[in-house]
Amino acid sequence: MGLSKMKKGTDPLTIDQNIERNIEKNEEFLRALFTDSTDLIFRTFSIEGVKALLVFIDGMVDTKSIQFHALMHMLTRADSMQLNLQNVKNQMNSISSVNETKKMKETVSHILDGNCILLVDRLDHAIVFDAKGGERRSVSEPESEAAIRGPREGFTENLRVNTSLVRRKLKSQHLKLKSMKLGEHTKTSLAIMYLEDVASSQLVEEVTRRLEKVDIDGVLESGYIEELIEDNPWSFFPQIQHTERPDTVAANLLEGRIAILLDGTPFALIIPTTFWQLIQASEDYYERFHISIFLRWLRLIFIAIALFLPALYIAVTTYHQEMLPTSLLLSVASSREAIPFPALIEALIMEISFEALREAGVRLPKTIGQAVSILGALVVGQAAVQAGIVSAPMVIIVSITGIASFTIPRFNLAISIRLLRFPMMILAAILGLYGILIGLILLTAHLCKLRSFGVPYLAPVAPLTLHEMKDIFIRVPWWSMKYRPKHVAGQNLERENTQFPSPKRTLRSSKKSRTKGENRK
Amino acid sequence: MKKRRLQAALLVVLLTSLTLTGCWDRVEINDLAFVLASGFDITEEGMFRVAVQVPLPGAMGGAGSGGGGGGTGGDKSFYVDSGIGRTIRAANEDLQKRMSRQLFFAHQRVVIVGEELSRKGINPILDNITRIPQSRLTNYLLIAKGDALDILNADPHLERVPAEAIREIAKMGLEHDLKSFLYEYRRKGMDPIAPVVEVVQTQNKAADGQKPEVEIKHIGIFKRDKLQFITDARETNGILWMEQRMSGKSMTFPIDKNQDATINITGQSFKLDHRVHNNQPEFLIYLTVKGTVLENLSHLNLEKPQTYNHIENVMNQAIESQIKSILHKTMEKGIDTFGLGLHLYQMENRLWNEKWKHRWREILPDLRVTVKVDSHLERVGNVGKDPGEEEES
Repeated sequence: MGLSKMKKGTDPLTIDQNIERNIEKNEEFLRALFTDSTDLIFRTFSIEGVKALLVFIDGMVDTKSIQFHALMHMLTRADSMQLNLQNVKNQMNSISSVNETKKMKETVSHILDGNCILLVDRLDHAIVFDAKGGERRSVSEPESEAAIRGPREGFTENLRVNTSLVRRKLKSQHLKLKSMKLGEHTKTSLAIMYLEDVASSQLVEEVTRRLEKVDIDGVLESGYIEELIEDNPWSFFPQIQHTERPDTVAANLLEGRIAILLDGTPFALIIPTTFWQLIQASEDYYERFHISIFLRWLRLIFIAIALFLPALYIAVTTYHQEMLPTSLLLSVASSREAIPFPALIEALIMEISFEALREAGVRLPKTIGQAVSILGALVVGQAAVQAGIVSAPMVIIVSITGIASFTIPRFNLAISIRLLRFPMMILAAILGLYGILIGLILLTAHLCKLRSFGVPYLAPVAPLTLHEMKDIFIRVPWWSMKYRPKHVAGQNLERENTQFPSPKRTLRSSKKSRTKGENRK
Repeated sequence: MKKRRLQAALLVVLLTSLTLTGCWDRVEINDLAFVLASGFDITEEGMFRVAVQVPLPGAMGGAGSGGGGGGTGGDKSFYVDSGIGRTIRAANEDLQKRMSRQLFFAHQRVVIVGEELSRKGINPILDNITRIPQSRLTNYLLIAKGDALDILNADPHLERVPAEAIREIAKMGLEHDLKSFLYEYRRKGMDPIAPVVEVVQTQNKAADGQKPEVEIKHIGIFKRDKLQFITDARETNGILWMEQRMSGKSMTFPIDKNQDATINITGQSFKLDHRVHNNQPEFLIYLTVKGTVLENLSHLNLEKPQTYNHIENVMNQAIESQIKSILHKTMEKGIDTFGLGLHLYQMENRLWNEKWKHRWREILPDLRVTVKVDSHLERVGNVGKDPGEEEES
């Protein structure tokens, strides 16, 4: 991008003068401002002998539309018209969005934004054609959040495309979109999206306030913003959810949350976020509710496994040998017979090499990645056991732990769990089960203390709100999801009024079953 | 700022004191010797000889142990050694001096007491086992015919370690663990029992077929903590009836001119009732038994109701005689194996305390006990008649 080269020139933001009537002066000024910016195009032409100038950044502008809708019109239809601002703006082009500005500062920022500027001699205005274009990645399936059932579209790097993807799902005049620019150099545009009639206005204000406080040179990914505005910056746990899926954003907006979409990244932020949200996948709401309930419990169990299993193994084998069934203990003992390391070291060797293997695999091209995983499985798994460096049960423990951490739907929570496993292992090695319990208590206390934009991180479990449990450990069927989560939504809590979807019972059915059906409403 | 620094320093001190003091209780699995079974004997000098059976993890064929092979061929997969001392603990310490791994009793499953020691009284063993937190009350307490050490050296083939085999066999029979023993032992008006384990040879005619196996067939009858006698087959069955452990087992008795039938017991219930007559208690033992025919060597037609009733009657008598044999034998010796005294303590507390408690063992031989058995044959199997009998045309 040519933008980076601009650092050499005068800072354009300090220019506070108006556009001159003399086009030569304006051109001279702009050329001086954008020295060494070869991607800036100055196209001079004349309309009926009057000099005109098109300025735009190559690659950020849809050149074809400029060519057909602006240049051609002006070159062919100008003869019959007087050359003033109104005519140029309204009649001499067929571009859908046209603005004008008097200020040089605005002109420059329009150029940088990817708009096309028309300067005409003797006019003290710059005409701004919105013809943003150029090559962008098209809407494709979200890779980090694939779903078997559900929309296949994911956000792209283009903010406008992204907001339109959400707008297409929520065709409501209540869907509001506040815009803002962040980053001194990147001037990244972002959009705060929310449903005016559902989201709490205080929350919107708070988000806006925190965003306004941000003062940074550049914002390249929503992760920057996440770290800049979260409540507890030191915590291991992600307090803001990010997603690549427009349907996830829409669903969260409907629950009264706020989304921050950022130009240049397909990851939107969702505010506020609770812990439970991070272990739910969008598919939970699309598949039948039975399997959703099962999967949620499965995930909960496997989160516990991912966090505690290696620690438990260490604690039980080095402190509480009496807790294992005898035959299991003998199996473990016989496979540990030749191992030279204590259980903690053995576990650390395995866990760290597993993490290394994963890290190596993530960034490699797919073809080489496979080679790494084969190597890893063979070397770390098979060979290490046969050579008597690690025991077979430890390999099993580490693999189960690895699998368990993959069951967490949100990658950012999985990272926290992966990291916290190590302190747990050390605690277990020092104090046994007692240590694990201390770790668990500290962890629970921390989670209870966390807030995400004022919402308790464990809400509605702690503090307990019984009637909101319908979407935490279970997912009630949609005909029963009558209300929005109260801890998030600020107003308009009623969500639906659908009746229990079953045909009316016939006269034959007993009175008992009828009252039952009514209760369900 | 200063406070922050202080907090950080404090944290560091706390963490280092946790990790660097070197007083971890950590013990690796491979530094422990898991005692699966203990055997207690008494030497001629009156000292305790305590034997332990420890599995050898290296010889158990786990992955990575390099050994493989399992326990059957060549070296045994367990190891038996014993120590001698004035107390049981002292004997353990004596043994420990020979072992590179620390003795660990939490996985002990079987406690075997030699016959001689049992006759002298097993209270010291109960003290030892119940005092240390490592031992479990689900241990099986068994009496060895002969020395306990010989039992630990037997090599049952179906399990990797003899202790495992002994435990499984004990579970199938009386299922009488340490907890039950202690319950019976500590209650007034009740005397404990314990299964008897012995070594027998494999019944195999092949030249190398003679291998020592363990068997639990009899039951040891205690008076307080002293072994009095060991039951025979009939008396054992009597105890099993009274302890309601006959379900699933079978009994064989002649039903017609010394021709036997085997009945599988599918269910039984047991009721002990009493009556006070002239300030003297009388007992009624009432048993209902359900069974199915497993085998019939007589030529009686089981489809006929008369045969049915006949078998049930014979069965009643057989069970009654089994119960009576052990009941009378114990009562004559002043042993209250079945807790008749306990029953009176619960039901006739005042009379028990005033009249019977102090001379219970003297009263016991003269008590009247009536045994009533009510058997029901529920099924006769797939064939009713003798399969050799020709079809009536």
